[in-house]
Amino acid sequence: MQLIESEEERAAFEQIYLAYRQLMFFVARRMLPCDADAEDAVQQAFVSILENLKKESRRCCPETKAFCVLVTENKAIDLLRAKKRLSQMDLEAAERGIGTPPPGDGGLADALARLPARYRQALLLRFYSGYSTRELERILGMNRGSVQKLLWRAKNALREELEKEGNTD
Amino acid sequence: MKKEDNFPFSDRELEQAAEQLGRAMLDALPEADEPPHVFSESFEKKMDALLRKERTRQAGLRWVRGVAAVLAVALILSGTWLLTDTEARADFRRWYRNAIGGDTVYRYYGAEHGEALPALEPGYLPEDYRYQKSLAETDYSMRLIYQSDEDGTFLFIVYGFMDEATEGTVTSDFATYGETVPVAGTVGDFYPGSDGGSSVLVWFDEEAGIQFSIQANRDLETIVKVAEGLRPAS
Repeated sequence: MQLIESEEERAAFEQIYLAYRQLMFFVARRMLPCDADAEDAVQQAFVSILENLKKESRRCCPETKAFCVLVTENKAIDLLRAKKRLSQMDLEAAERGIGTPPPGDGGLADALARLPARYRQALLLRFYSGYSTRELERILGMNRGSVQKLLWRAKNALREELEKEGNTD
Repeated sequence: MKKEDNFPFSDRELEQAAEQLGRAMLDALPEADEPPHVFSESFEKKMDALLRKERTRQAGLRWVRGVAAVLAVALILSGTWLLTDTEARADFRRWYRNAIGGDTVYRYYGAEHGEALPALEPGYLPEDYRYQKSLAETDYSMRLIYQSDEDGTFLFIVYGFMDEATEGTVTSDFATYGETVPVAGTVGDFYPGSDGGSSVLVWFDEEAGIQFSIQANRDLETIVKVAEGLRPAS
């Protein structure tokens, strides 16, 4: 388990916390029905960020910001799924996540934006944030086999999205 | 460019697409929420506590890490807070076990405790073990250390509050999950040691909100006997 190992690192974490907590709350609140749930998601996300944020990323930058958003979205989905009774609205929120606008390349990036939140998150964490399969195990709370399966399914879903749009080579 | 697993895109292409989407995602989010959300007192308190406890925990964990390196300790019980509101917890389980990369991670949900951790001692120990020291790892957990006169191996008894979701990890380097066994009127998880190394037993007193673990290079029967002999220190 990664820990805050020095005063400097702790200060860096506090800076990230102060810089992004409003944004993280906004992300969580878009998916969760009340402020208290959204705060729960933000708290859980910070614990995960504390444990998993790469040392070289412990500063405020777009990559760290994206990581904070993705982890918060992931925790919000976890909270929705942990409910004993899921409403249709919960299911849709868990499937859609925060929703990401297509970048407009008419290809792979747009197809990626259309994926269900779980697949989109996994691919962004892997290919944008650069976390390894092993690191994803801890971030997503899954074992290695499940992470590998998730990534494979996400790629498969991406291929299907591309096929729908007739964008395959 | 290499395209693997019959996908019509390479990892490099995926990286480029992910970067584009990552940027689009951030661009679509507000820079600052207007008006900003005023976080609840409970949230602020817990976040403060998280940072404070992380700071406090460093010393203990450094020591534990030192012990781990020298003594090959398999079980690290530490105070990582998951920090959620107690009421919001009502829908969730009290604790769960997760297999992560071969390690087993226990996470707990519970109200913050208001009492001191009880002082315990083993009512039974194999004859060759002698008391070495007790280490309070913050006021949330305690580690009792014993060493064998005969083979020099150590026996660790670690217990601590399950409140605010303490995290416990049994690392697969030393022991892997074996079976569920009856312990002191409840059930525990037994991890036989790898390559003749120490085994680990983990169990919980849900009522008291305390997690226990024993690690020793002894068989299941002996470890369970030690577990069941735990009593208030005299």
